[in-house]
Amino acid sequence: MQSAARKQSSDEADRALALVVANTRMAERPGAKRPHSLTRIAEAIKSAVAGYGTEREVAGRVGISTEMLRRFLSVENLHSEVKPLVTARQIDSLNMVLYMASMPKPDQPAVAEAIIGGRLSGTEVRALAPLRNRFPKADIRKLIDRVANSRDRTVYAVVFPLTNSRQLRAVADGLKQASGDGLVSVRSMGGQRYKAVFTRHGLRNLRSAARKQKLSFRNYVKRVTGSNSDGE
Amino acid sequence: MPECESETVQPEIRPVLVTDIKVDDTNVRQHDIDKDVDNLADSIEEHGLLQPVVLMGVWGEPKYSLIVGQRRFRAFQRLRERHPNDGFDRIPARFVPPKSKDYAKVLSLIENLQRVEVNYADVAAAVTHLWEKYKHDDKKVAQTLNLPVQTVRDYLRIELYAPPKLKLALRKDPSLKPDVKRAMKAAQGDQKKAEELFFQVKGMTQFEKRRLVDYGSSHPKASADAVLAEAKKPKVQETIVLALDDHLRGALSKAQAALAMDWVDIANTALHEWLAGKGFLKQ
Repeated sequence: MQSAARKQSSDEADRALALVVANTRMAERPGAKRPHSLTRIAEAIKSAVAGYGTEREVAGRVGISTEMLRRFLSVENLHSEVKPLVTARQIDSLNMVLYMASMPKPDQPAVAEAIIGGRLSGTEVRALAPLRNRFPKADIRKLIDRVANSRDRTVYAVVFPLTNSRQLRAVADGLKQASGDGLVSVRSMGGQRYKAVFTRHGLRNLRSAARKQKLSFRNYVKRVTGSNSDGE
Repeated sequence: MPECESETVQPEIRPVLVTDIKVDDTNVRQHDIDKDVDNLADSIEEHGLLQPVVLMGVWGEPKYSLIVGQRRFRAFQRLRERHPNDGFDRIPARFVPPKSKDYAKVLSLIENLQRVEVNYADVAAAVTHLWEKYKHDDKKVAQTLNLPVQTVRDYLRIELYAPPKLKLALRKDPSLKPDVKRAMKAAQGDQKKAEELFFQVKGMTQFEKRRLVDYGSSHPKASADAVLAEAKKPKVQETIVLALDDHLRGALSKAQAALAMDWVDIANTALHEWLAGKGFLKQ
């Protein structure tokens, strides 16, 4: 009876270990996506540690450092509102989770919201943590704004023709909606040519919307602007 | 290790009267001397002294100079006051011959660096002392103290060139070292400017700090205000999105496969050649 329970526990630890191996040694499979969410991996690590005794033992069997193993466990330090977002893989970057977990729990939902909304990249979340230490009493949303607005950035310009300038407002609204609020500006370039400038996130949303409608990017822009984009 | 190989610590441990010991000025620990000494005294009282102190001198010829173990020595002094008859009047010690003060200083620093986090100012002062002793050979200082050369250079740069206010801030909070280095680099030798930049850089984001250093070091004549203004101004690079006709995209894909080149490189090369051929671009 006892032996059967021990075997079951050992099997569980082995299964957990297999899951950890499949999800952690990604350098051997460049470009591949981790099969499981970070919360699932952290649970598996905990099961493996329970079965094998120590983090060091598990790290050795997986073939990663104990430090790396602990990084995966940082998901345990997330706010209860943030963990489900990681489980749903809306936040799926280990670095983001690591830096977010190093911040006070009450700050984390606002940071998670900014990540999902495309306002903060991994580098920016990393830059936010020391700023929070420096200004412990500041409003986290103001600090997020400071970081997001202080980074050098690349914007993406799409040029399109518009014969009737009275339609400009409607076109700008359409682009704003299609890019998920990733539109920075729409400016005249002289004559009937206009330039719409998007954030990286906005461009990604536009491309994704085009794919969903099975249109080329060019044709999608043409449809949203109600014009014949000249493809720039 | 220190230069004078013959002046090594002798292996014998001797019980030495606490009153026969004086704290030598070679001891690198000059700051935070009394920090946690009471806790250390409690620990020694409970577990005994695990590591003897190191004295410079000849056994039997007091007074001896204490070079390693200042906190242990002070803990013993407290214990002697607390329990005058419990044997705390003698502390276990090892000896090093009384020849070289530099050797004693190096030994003291190495011992402290290996064991606990020494006060920033103590290490900086010891590094500077050795650098002068070794005729400005920073590699030799690094080798002696088993520190990276870059770390030694950082200590020296700050000790020799940082404005007093920055050194003071660093002594209070060693985690400010990267910001002190940034302000100094951006100020390019102007101490007043370094001070002004330092007190602003502390509250900046990583991105602003990077721009501060880039702009300040490439514009040495710019005022502190100008450097700060540039640091706070994010650079925006605009990329034109080229949405190509389907047949062009197909052709690019074919070229990418055949030439094993990224399509962006192919498009750039093609544009370059066409513009140059038409005389719009200088070769």
